[in-house]
This record gives sequence, C-alpha cells and structure tokens, in this order.
Amino acid sequence: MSGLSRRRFLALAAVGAAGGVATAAIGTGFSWGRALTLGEPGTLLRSGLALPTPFQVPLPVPAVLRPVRSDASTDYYEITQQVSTLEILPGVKTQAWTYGGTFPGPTLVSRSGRRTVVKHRNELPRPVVVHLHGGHTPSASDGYPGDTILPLGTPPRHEMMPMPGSPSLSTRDYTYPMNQRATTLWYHDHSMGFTGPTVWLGLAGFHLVHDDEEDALPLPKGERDIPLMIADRSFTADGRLDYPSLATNLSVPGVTDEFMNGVLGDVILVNGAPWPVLDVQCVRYRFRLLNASNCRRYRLELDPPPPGGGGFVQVGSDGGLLAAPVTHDVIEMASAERFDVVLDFSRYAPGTQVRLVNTIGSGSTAEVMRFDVSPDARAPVDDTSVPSRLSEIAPLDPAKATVTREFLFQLHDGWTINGQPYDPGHPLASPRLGDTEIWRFVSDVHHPVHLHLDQFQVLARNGGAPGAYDHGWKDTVDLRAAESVEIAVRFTDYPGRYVFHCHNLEHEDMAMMADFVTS
Amino acid sequence: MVTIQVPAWPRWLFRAAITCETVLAFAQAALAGGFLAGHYDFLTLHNENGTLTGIAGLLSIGCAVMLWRPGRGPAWPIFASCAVFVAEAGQIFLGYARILAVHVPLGVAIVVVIVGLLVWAWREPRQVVA
Repeated sequence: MSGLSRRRFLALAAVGAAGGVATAAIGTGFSWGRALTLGEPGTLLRSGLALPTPFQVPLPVPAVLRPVRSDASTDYYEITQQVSTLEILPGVKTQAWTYGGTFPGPTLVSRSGRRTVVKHRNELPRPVVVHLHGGHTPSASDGYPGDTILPLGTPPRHEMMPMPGSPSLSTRDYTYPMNQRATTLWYHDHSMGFTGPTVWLGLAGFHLVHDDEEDALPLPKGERDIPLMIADRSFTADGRLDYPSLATNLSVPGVTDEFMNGVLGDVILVNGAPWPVLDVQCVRYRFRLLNASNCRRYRLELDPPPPGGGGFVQVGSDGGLLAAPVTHDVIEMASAERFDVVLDFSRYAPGTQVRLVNTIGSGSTAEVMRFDVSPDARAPVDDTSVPSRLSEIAPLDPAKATVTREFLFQLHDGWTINGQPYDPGHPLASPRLGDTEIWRFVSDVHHPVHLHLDQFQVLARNGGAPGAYDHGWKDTVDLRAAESVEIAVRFTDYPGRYVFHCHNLEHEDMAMMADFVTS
Repeated sequence: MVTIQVPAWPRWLFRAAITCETVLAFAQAALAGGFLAGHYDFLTLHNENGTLTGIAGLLSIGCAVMLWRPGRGPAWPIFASCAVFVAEAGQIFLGYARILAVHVPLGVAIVVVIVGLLVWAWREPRQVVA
C-alpha cells in the first residue's frame, strides 16, 4: 500500500468513524432529510380498532339550542354537562363527555347586543370551566381556570396548585352581553391542566353571533350556512376515546412524555362524524370552519379544485366579517382558528365528488370530508353572492400604542411564556382598558396564540407583511416554528383577570399560559 | 540537523478524534435548525448529540496529549482542545438555561476553533524536526 493511498484510506476511515458516531448519536430511524422539511406539532396516537371507510356517513349539523325563557333583554339557556354514550364511529358505542348529550354540543345562536345567559350544570366526574372562545365577556363569565363548577356530591379535589378564582357548586350562570359583531364563536372546557383531555372527550360546541350588518349581506343563509367543526380523535379497541393522560382518572394533569408536543388522532371528525359526506346543490354555501383539534394543523384544499382555482372565498375570520373577501386555493388552520368561507358548487359539473383534503396529513388524516354535488343539472336559483365589500374594519393604529409587550413561547422545562410556566394570580401584563397596545410573540416550535377578552389585528409576521391567514379580526394567531408575530390589541369594557395562552391544548395544559389583568 | 522518525499513529488518532468532533459539532447546528423548523424531537437529539460532542471533545484532549508525547508534536493543540471542551461544557449549561444569545455565538466560535484544528491536523504531515 503506497503512502498516499494509505493516507487516503486512513482519512476515509476517520470520516467514516465520525459519520458512525454521528449516526449513533441520533439513534436509529433518524432521517437527516426530515430536517429539511417543516415540522408539524404532535405525536400520532393510533386507534386500536379498524378505522371506518371514509365518506360513509352524512354530515351531521349540531342542533340549535332553544332558550328556556326570554325576557326583554336576555335569552336564557341551560346546558347539562354529562357522560353520554354516542355512536361516533358506525356500529361502535363511545362514552363521551358532552354538553347536553351530543358531540359537538348544541349550537347557541345569539344576537349582537342582546344578552345571553347560559346556566351550565356539571354532572361530570370532575370540575369543569366553560370558556366562550372569542367572546367579549366580563371576567366573571370568561371561564378563568380557577372559576370552576364543582360536581355535586364529590369532594373538591386538590388541584395541582392553589388557584385564585371562585368555584361554584353544581351550576354556574355565564353571562354574555354579546356586545360584539357577528361571528363564529365556540365554547369549550378550560379546566386548569385538563383542557386537552376534556375537549378530546367531547366538551366543545359552536356559539354563533348574528347582527344586522351580516343579515344585510347576500351571503348564503339558513341551511346553506353550515358550521364545520374539524377535530381529530383516536379510539381504543373497545371504542373509548383514547388519550395518553398521565392518570386515566384525570387526577394528574399532563400527558406522557411522548405526547408533550400534542396529541394527534387518526380519525378526522367533522361535526362529530368520521369523514362525512354532504350532498350539495350547484349553488353557493357558507361554511364556518373551526379547527377544534387539540394540536393538529390542517392545510385544507379542494380536490378537485374548481376550474380556475380559488375555491375558498374567505368572508370572515375569528372575529367576524373581513373588510373584503379573500380568495384562497389553500387554507392553513391551527387549533381554535375559524375561517368563514363561501364555496360555489356551481363551478363544478353536476355529479362531481369534491373532497376536502388535508395536505399536511397522511393516510387517514389526509381526508376530511366530501361534498357530493347534485347530479341534477337543473341548478336551483341562487340569489346569493359575495359582495366585494363586506364590512368596515377600522385599523388599530400602532403609532398610538401606549406600550409594546414581548412574549416568548418556548420549551423550557415544560412549556413556558417568557420562561415561566403558568402561575395563576401573577399576571404577565396589566393593560389599561381603552389603550391600544402592541404585543409581540416569538415561538420556538408551532404555537397558536390565543388572547381572551378582545379580538386583535395582526400587524406583521416575521417583520414583514401579515400572512395569508392573518386577515381581519383575530383571537388566535398561528405562530409557526421560529416565527415572530406582532399584533395590535385594545382591551375594552371589562376590568378583571383573564388569560392568554397557546391553544395547542397539550402545551396549554403543561403550563403555556399566563394571566393578564385589565383595569 | 538530524531527522528522527516518530510514530505516525498519534497524528492519525488526533485526526480521527478532531474529525469526529467536527462532524458532531456541525450536527449540533443542523439539529438546532431542525427544531426551529418545527421538529420537536430534534431538541432532544440536540441535547444528546451535545453530550456526545463533549465526550468527543474529551477524547480530543487525550489525543492531543498523545500527539505531543509520544507523537513529538506541539503542545498547543492540548490547550486548544481543553478550551474547546470547557466551551462545550458551557454550551450544555447555556442551552439548558436557554441563554441563546450566548449559546448560538459560542457554538459558532467552537465550530471555528474545531475546524481550525481539523485543517491544521490534516495539513500537518511534516516530519517533526529535532
């Protein structure tokens, strides 16, 4: 062996050894190529039973709840939270935690400016908290994590830390003044440390607000205005909703280490049905998309897209109507975000089957639902349209902001905001009512950030223009990995204690939340 | 002037050690980047690979000593390797403490020094002159 070739051999051996060390360092099954792709939150929890074939069941639409009584100013509703046996998968009985016996819970419909009072009765085996997501709600009714409804007849549990707040026994009246514009809200559990499992078990429903401005628009209405709650779930072999809690009786908050970045299900439910089908006419429909998944993000597309593309015409966001419609081929939505979209099926040939697909997902989670366009070529008269102007949105002026606050959402011995795990009673911000403020968020991995009390406007994303999904009034903004987002917010009307948090529910439960106090 | 033959293996050992350390240090940057691209598990890999980089740093010190004696090379690579190892230990602390404004540039500095050592190790084929 010549000196040169021996040197080359030894060099290669050294590099090979180094490569071997590097490979051993990062374990088996590791792919460097994955580093070049964008990551998504969550770990898949596989169902223990055979998944049903997609597109076998019709799309259910949650029933609208009737008030038990009304007076001149207020509509009164009652909801009992209870364990119910449902048939979520065809032929499989599943015990769920429900609002009034269904999943999703009944849809509440309010009129802007008219007070809604909801009496929640807790017949579930642990304390609950109800939060109206996106509601402009006084502190006492906002669902602060310490304001629990304790179950009747069970001793109050020791929570993981002494919580400020005022628990009530058995029932609680939530008062919603509804001094807010028309939009798609949703209500869900907000239990301290247990929101992930309780929402997963079924505690979520729609709450719509209508107003005169929205009524005056020629958008699709009535049976062609359909809320779609998209949520992923997994099931055990015996049909229970599976969830990787540290304690199956929900006595200890949190999930096993493997699921720290979120729990993903392998069944996609829309309004509580797996991969359902909706028969549609060759006309426009309005769909109020809600991502009610614990952590799953979706990249929704229509397959096939309508000729010419632009299948989704977005007319509203978390906080109601946009100023003008925005056309999308793709909608990316993070947990808790809403997209109010109009789909025009007259753009398709009669008889077309249009799948709503999720191009982030793979296998069973790549499908969401299907629209079967009527084969009847005689289209009904469609008197709806999407006007080029929808509403007025007065921009919040960042030049008038009184303060700029910065919040870092980061993994740091658990999930933290500004390095701190949730510490109830120790607010990270104390905004003055009526002031415009700039809040800046920075993320390590994905964090959908949600503010209670008021809707905000996105000013900038990564120092540049807001993104394609940041239009209009928002209450939840999706921060992708290593991003910064700047918002303008003005808290109004209600002094008191509120929270803001990551809406990846596993992050939220494992402490990525903070108080803010308005005065 | 007398040229004496010294054993070649210490030089190869040092080359191998410093090459391993360089690969691991570059992998640290890639794994951090993977986490910032949203791959949650990359942070754990970054932690584990950081420990391995430190172990490689420790081995490099040993190899630098052997490069000096019996390899009859210079002594300064021992001090350079020690400095890198101290910096790597500091990196582990800074990383866990999330003092990233120091963690990231110190990581860059470590890579610069290691790559300097690597280039020197592979460009130093000369016989030692006594």
